[in-house]
Amino acid sequence: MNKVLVVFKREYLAQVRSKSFLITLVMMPLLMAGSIIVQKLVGEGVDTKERRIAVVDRTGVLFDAIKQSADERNATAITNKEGRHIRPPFIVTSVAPKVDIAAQQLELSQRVRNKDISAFVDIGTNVTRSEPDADADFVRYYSDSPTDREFIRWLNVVLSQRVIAMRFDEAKLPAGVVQGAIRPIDIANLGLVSVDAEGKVKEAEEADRLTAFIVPYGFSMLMFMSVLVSGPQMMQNIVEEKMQRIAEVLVGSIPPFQLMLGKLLGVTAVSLTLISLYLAGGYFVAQKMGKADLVPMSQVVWMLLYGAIAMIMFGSIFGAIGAAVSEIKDAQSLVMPVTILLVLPIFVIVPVIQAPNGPLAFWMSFFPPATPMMMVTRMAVPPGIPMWQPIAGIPLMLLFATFCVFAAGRVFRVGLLMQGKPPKIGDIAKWVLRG
Amino acid sequence: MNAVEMSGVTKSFGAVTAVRDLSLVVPTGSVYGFIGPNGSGKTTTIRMIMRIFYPDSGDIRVFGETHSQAATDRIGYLPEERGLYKKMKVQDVLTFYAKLKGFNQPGAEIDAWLARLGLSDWANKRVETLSKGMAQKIQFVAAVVSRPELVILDEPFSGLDPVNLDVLRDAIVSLKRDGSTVIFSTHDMSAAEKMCDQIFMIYRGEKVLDGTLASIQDTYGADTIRLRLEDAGCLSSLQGVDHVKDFGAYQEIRLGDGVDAQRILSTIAARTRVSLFEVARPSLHDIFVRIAGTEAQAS
Repeated sequence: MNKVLVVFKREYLAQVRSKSFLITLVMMPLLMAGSIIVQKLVGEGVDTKERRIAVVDRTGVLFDAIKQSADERNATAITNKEGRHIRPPFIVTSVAPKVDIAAQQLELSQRVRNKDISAFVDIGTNVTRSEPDADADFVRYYSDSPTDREFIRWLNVVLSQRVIAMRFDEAKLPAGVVQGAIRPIDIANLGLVSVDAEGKVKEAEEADRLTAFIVPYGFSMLMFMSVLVSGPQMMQNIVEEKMQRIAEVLVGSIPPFQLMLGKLLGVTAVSLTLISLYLAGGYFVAQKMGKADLVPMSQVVWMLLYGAIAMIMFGSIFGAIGAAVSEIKDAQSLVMPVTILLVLPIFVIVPVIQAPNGPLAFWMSFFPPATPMMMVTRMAVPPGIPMWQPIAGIPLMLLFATFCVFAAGRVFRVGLLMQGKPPKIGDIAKWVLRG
Repeated sequence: MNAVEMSGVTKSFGAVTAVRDLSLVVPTGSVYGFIGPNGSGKTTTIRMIMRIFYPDSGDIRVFGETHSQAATDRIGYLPEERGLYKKMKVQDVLTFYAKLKGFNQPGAEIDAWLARLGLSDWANKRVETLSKGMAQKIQFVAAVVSRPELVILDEPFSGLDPVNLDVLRDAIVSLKRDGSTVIFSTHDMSAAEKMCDQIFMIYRGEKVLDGTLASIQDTYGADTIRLRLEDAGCLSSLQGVDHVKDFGAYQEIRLGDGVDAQRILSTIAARTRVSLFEVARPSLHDIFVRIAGTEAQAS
């Protein structure tokens, strides 16, 4: 077993000292910072040239209200603190309604095409009335840029407020009373009530419950990502060793099982190092913001434990693929089914979160390839799961992982000296059985 | 005790039989040369001794044990296809290989070998900066740095210039002096003649020669005669001669079974002037070509 350590140490140091590790280490925070900066830049790059909108107000009473709101908005809401334009001003002009609706719409459309105006709105005669009339209740916005929704959104709010008030008036209903009568209810989703140290009754806060879920959920995603990174890394390392002709010397010195184990531990340790550094960074930031209490430490430990086993499990499968092929491109068809196995938990995660103790969730978490993600996610969802389940999951996964490493070792020895066309899954299964 | 004992070993890959019913004994402390044309089964035999391949049938013992794993700390191995971690420093690579063989304090041994092969200045350079010849010498050091009792070298001389070839030959001889058993395969017949206590030739998966150089030469007898004649043309119609080769400055003939050299001399002397007549032992090169040559020419 001493040799496992020798391989582990070399693998770990070779990777941690490599440039790509440093790049990965810096990349993630850099990407995050970069995306914030890009968003800011994009925010400032909004098209702020004025929108000229023609309004055909067939009610005859709405245009003034629209015009007034637009002027107010142009005066107050389209510049930032430094006085720069961050939103487009809306210039609304009234167009007298004509009887031939179709002809007028055609004429206005032509003006949009000629860039004379940006768009036009046609408001039906019955909009302000409390009695519905399907033929005259329309408000239509015509433009050649359907994805530019800024004006439409604004107009919707302005018109709705105005129109509803007018309908109340017409029906002789006191607006304040009606609004009070139809106010919506909001159901608060709370945890159970407990008693604090001073004997006072204390309610669980909604925000706490949400973070208690979101944080571990984020962790399990981090775990998924690191498996997705470390697995192919393992595969690539082994293919490189085959291509650089190192593998035969290694097999002459160390049993394949030990070699695989050492390499897997190395790759896994590299990923764990990376995750720990990120987590430490995240914890530091959380502490600066005074939110460190929200990080549930016991679940971080579970997450790291399950993450390590998941990386070994999938690492060995990817490693076996690497051992079976002689070039990375030959590996693609073999990687596909493994990837499906890997993302399987993602497919079922929504029903599992909704019923963390249902039969699907239960059985999926004892299907070894899905165990890590399932267990960590289910533990994160209140009220959690019985403690025996995550504990029982560990020997199960270790057993499965040991089998994977053993199988990968056999494939490595047989596949090592194979040349020519890449093997099929059936061939690989034969290698595992026969040795 | 014998370092390696193989008996009745057969190994097939699909329909191709790479090695057929092979038996071989490599005594401890000897230098054993494996020769044979490309694709005749040398590397397969070596990989079976290393337990990288398992034989289909037959028995292989190394130091009396039928070990089940390739990883034996007692064997140092230089594969035919060689490679080193390109990004690692020479010193680190060698330390890694030594430790993999369970040799945990290899510092002094590495320094000594690098000095002997004239590579001391390169100890802290990365492998990717080495020339091909240097990398090959480093690979050799990797195979022997853990002081293995048995050293197996697959084509150790290929691609080396004459100077480095001598350096490596001396190194192999010194391994023997220090008590190691050495098996190496080669296409360099003169190296095999000079260095090997015993020579083993495999051809089409079967053993065709096995023994000391002298015993092999005895088997092939004193049937080769070197001549210098005024008119080499008269050799062509000579009775009792199997094979004639005209090198220009001299000629070589091989006698048929039971043909007397003395009688041939008198026949030739009657036809032309003879300025050289020498009964020679066939070189290993000649024996190799005699076994494999006709087939190679035919194909």
